Amino acid sequence: MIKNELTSLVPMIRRFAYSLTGSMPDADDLLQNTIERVLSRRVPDDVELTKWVFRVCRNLWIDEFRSRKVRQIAAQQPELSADQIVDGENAIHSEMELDRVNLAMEQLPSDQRSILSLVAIQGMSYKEVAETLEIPMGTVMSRLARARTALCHHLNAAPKRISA
Amino acid sequence: MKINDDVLSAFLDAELSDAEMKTVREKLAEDQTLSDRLAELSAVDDQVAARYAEIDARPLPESVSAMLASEEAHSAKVIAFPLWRRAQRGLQEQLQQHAGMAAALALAIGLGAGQLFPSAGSGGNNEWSAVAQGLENTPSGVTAALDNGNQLTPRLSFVNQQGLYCRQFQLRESSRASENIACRAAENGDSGSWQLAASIQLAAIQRPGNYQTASGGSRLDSALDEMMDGEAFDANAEKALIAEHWVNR
Repeated sequence: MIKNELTSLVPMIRRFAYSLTGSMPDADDLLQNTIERVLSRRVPDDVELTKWVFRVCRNLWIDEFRSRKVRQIAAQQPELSADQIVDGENAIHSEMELDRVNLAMEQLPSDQRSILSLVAIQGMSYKEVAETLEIPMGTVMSRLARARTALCHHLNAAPKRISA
Repeated sequence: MKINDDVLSAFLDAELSDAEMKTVREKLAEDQTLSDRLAELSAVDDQVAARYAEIDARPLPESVSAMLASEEAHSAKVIAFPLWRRAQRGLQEQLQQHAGMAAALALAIGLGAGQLFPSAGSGGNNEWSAVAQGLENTPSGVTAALDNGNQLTPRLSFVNQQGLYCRQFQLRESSRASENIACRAAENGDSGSWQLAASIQLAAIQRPGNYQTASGGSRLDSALDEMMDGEAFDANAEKALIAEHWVNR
């Protein structure tokens, strides 16, 4: 039964994962880890499955995001050149996929990015976002506004730079 | 009220109070720069949604489909007692006294009658007609010994979505057992006959002196959930149906 519900959620979770990672292969990895995690553990009684799945996805992304930062810092040390090569490949790969929207999303703090994605992709209300991310509604409102303002700025700035 | 991006953003999502929504609407009507700004902000959501919907075109990883598909096989176990199970529970407690088999893993649902009852469907066959006769007369929870030595135990009776009478039953043969659903279909105006609708083969492991519950019935849970229209008949209603020879409504 949970499988049926999950199957219907997959397209949205996948877009959400893509909006967080900015890379399709990474999004599918994140999707897989999310489904795996949801199936392997008990869904809490007091959380709707939809919110739970998005929460798991976002938390897994944050964990991965953090560990990636750690790797990047480690790679800056000369004795870890193997990591640098991997990072170099990732950088080229990322560059190919980056576009203006993605680039703008990359600039956002992780919370703003999650909130904007949940609203824009999943169409969640502020209350639903607050419950999913376990933050106050006022925080949702202010961070979402900041995310939209920042994206507006990035998206509209690009053409001006070209014409200048 | 000062109208900044925060307010416009919440306005976009209709997350302001009614009074605030009204105020913003009025301001938007008189201030062109405000409505331009609103359009810019709302375009952000559209672009984000469109950008990340692009992943839809990429095939879903097989690993993900596999995880979700394999879960399907387990789902029958997860079904929490739906309504009809309540009626059945009392019967199953009775059944446990008889059931001396552990149901090992089953084949899939959907084996045709032809495979399980090679003679089913052809006129004057013996095996299926013995089963059909047993279904006609045996109350749920009672085990009937058929002429060919097999044992038939109806578990419950119900009406399916097409309005036909159906019965779930267990059939035990010398070396194997199956859980089945048959429905009574009328053809060409005759009084109707029992026809197999679903069947799961159970590997019967006899353990003399070590009785175990036959869990096989629950393997048809999902099929029952799909088929049943309303609850199972209680013992009295079933008795009446047997007396009336299951004449369809």
